[in-house]
Amino acid sequence: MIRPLARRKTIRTIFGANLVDAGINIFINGISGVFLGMAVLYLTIKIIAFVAADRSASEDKS
Amino acid sequence: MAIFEHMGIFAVTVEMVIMWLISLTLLYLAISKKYEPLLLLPIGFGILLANLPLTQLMQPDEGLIWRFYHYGIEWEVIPPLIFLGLGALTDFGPLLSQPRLIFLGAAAQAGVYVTFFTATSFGFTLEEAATIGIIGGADGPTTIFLAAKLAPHLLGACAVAAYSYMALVPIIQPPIMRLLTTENERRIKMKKGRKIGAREKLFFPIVASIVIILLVPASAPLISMFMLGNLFRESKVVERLTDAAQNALMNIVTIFLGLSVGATMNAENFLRTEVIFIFFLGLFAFMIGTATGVILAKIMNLFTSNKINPLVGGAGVSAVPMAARVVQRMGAEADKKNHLLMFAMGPNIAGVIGTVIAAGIFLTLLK
Repeated sequence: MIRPLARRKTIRTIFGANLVDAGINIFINGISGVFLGMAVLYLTIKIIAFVAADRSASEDKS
Repeated sequence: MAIFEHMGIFAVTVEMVIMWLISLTLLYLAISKKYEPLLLLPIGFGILLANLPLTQLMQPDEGLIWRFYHYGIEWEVIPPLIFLGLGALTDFGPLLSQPRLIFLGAAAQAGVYVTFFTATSFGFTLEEAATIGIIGGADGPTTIFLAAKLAPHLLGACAVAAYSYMALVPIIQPPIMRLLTTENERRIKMKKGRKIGAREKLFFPIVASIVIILLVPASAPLISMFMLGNLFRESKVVERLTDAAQNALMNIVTIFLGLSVGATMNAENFLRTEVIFIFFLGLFAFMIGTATGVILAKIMNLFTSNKINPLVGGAGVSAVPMAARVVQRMGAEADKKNHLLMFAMGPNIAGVIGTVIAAGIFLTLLK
């Protein structure tokens, strides 16, 4: 469920409280979700490199 | 005579004629200017067909193109198949050799969310705003995938906006990138990443599928196909499948995708003031995405001695490979010996993944 986060009364009055609350909620969840996803992917790449890179490097030398 | 009553010529309206002109404009851009011809040509022809009277091509349960649309797009078949082909065409090497550049692909998604929020302020519903915002990801199949689920009535306008702006990347991005960078920054030469082995490239699509789908299950249709296509490529044991995904399958589904998307743009759906806002907001999304990518690269440079050329951040908006080519061209303009293409491919590919994650988050929160 969408949880209200907006606290700015003026903006909420102009655009409608529910829409702004929901919009801000999705905005924050969205940005943080994308960065979290990418951070996990970054760590995944690092782990793959740690597990697989040395063997690959030795294969390259051979 | 009864035959005259069944002739379309007497049912033509002014709105239809306007849509023909829009269709002919897209056909002109595709054929003469070669702007995204693979998509804009079938889309343009689809618009023409959808606005010829009495054809019933988009009549539910009856029309030929409606069947393409229903089974291809509404059933979520075509966009994931396009992603299968894209995966088979993608080399993750540049991303794996410089994993820190993945964050530039994430930063560019700020354009999606800023536009989403702006669109809600203009009075669009949350579902419509999400569909408009995702244009900023510069990823046609993801835009179509999300629009079909959240705001099917905006599908045609959003798809045309996405593909048009992708074609216009070489015009839209350079002024923003120039504005946000100094000549010295544009001259920065990046150090080459390490060489990536075959085993790493093989592991990546498998592990990345698990990780991304566990984090954002709603992104599974697109990410799974993207990574499967890449696994075909990197496994090197199914060359026939790789070739089919890269060429025959991709070409076939592109025809149905373009035609179906174009056919959703009848006069009633398209000739509305909302559509002007969609095009404006789509452009805004592209611009913000470009700017945030460049700005994050500059911020990252504050914390590292291994400098990133901030131009590379502009490639985070997907639009593979056009955005990366723009970076290469601008880098070469500042210093002829500066070759940024392979560095830019990293955030470019990360941008594709980032847009899919963004779409998955929208689906999770709004569906």
